[in-house]
Amino acid sequence: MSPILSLSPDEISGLFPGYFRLNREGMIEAVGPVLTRRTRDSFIGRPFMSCVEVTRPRGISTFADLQTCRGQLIIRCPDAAGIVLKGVVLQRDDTIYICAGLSVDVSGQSSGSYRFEDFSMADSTLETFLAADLRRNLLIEAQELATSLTEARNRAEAADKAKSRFLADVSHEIRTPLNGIIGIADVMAHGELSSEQAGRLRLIRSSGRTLERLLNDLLDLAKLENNRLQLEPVRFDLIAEIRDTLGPVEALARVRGLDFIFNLESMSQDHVVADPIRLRQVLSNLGFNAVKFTQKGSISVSVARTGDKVEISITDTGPGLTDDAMSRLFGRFEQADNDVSKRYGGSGLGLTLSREFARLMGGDLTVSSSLGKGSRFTVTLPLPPAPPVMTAPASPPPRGTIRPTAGAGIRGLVVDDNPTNLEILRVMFDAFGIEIDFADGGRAGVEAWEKNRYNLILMDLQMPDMNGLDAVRMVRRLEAGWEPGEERTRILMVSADATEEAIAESLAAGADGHLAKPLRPESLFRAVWSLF
Amino acid sequence: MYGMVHRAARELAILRHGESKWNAIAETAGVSEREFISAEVFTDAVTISIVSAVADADGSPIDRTLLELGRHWIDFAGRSAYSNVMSMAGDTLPDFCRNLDRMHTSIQATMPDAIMPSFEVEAQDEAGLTLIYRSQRTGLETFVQGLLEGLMERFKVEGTVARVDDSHPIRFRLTYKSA
Ligand code: HEM
Repeated sequence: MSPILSLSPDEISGLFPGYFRLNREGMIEAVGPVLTRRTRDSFIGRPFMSCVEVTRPRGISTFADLQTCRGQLIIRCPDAAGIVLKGVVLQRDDTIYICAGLSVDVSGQSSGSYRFEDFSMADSTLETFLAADLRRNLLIEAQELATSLTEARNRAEAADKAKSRFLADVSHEIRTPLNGIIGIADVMAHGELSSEQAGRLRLIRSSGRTLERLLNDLLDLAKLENNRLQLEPVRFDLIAEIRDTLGPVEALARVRGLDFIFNLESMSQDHVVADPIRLRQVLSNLGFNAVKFTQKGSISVSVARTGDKVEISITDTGPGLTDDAMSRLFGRFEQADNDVSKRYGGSGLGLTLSREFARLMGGDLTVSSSLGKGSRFTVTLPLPPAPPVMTAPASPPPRGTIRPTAGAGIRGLVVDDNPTNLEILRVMFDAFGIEIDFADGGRAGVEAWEKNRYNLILMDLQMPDMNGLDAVRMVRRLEAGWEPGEERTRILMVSADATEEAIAESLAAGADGHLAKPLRPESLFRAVWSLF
Repeated sequence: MYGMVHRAARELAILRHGESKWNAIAETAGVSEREFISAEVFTDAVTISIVSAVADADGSPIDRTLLELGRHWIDFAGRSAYSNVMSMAGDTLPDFCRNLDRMHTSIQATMPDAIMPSFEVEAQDEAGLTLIYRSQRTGLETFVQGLLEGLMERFKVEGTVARVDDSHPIRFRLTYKSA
């Protein structure tokens, strides 16, 4: 007898869990545990060939064919949940063994229905099977992690949006009354005042402007934090811009008895493409800081170009900074309570913002200082030279207070739902001798205009019933039906939103100009005069 | 140890103390991860510091938390990605115990860096069984105790698990009414 037949049923089961033992006639005498566990009707006593399908090798259809088969056998067992077995035929004396184990489909889903006993101890089918199962699970785990990360990110973004929205709303709410204070104080400054009153008014105005700057800085910071601050590059003359920006700084320096030195390395014109507004913010912030902390000596500004790089330095002969103070100078949230910021005044965010702007423009802002001697702030920016803009030189904007000779001929309408704004404008227009009517909403505005044919409208952008853009469009549509030769209505849109987008939208709707809040008497009347 | 153990520990900590406390626990343990991936291998030192930080938060000795973690692992594996493996390992407590060794051996192919324990059912009768636990690690006996208690619960078997005194290798006696 050959050794294999002397194995116990348990031992055979361990090696070939899907075995069949057949007698000479091909009747099943015993089966392995995989099969017992899966059939309700026992295989025992039934003819093997009618219980299974031999799928490999091809052409085995009778028990006689099976007995001569020497290759690898693949059989499917419809009566045992369709499992597939793989094995060989061994014939000893009167007994035939189909020595087989599970051939599992590792992509299958039904792994839970298998048991360890279904797998041979002598091969690695179980390992392969578990490996497939565990890998599948790893993928699911990775997906779950990715989903939870995405959700967390979405939540954070939503919170960020809510924060920005809140900031925008709050600053809008603050801006309106603040505009009232500043606007009316500005108008009062044009009137007759005792020197004491004038002094107090100066305080109101400068406090108001400080608050306004703080508000703007906070908004800029919020935009920077959300990566929503967009640069608006245009082509301009760098040298003229620097001179223009630092003009007021120079004036203040001279008043304080300081020397102010421009060192332009014989650069006269240098056209570049960049965001002049942000550049202005950086330079004027550095300039005013320098003046503020320098008791005697000088402020010098130098501009130097090396290839595509421009370096602008502002050097003072002030007290200088300790290493520790320098390291904290640009920190974002530290300023509010450390003494560096107290000394540097303002919102305390100026330097933080300046560095952020410089970096946003692809450059940097650095400081070097020696205690007792002074400090140097250096802005380095990549600003490749650009060809100059080919336009006729614009006439310089009028400076100082504008006193219209007469408001005659202007019949104005102010459309705004906010009573404070209405009041400020009333005071301003009064001061300039222009009579004006009011409407407290878009719809009311259009109606009043139809009735009285005003030739000037100041239209607020955000109003609950009909917004400014729609109201302007309606006015323009109605105008289109007028007799030829009628005087066209001049419309100025008034909005806190002074982005290029907002301005373009106002003009597209049919406005003749766009005024940014807060309104100042000068800018208001310059805009009005330019239309008449 | 593979990250799956840490996932179970994290889940246990969150179940007991909440998500925000978990952050503090992980910080105490000195790990930067807040989530673990099953397939990543961490040194045993990381595993131990997580378990002891959880123990700190529990306000109990580390062995107590190891025991809980063992019990929790059975529940965790039964619910999670490992539920197939758990059900394939057997339908009764004795069958499952006999397959513990094969389970770990077969998983080794997928987790080559695992240092697997070895289990052997030494004796079995109506009243219970004796399980030998061999490991390259030391100090995890209460973890095994918890695992075995968890298994009893899984198979709804009433009984006790006891470490056999001073035996080498380490033996556990599982005594039950019927399995
Ligand atoms: C699906 C279920 C399970 C899986 C996937 C699994 C997997 C593993 C792996 C990968 C390790 C090695 C850790 C490493 O070195 O990285 C391990 C360790 C261990 N497993 Fe399991 N296991 C499972 C269930 C169980 C169960 C039910 C027990 C019950 C007694 C158990 C007892 C242990 C013990 C005590 C260790 C500690 C290792 C040591 O002593 O060195 N495991 N297991």
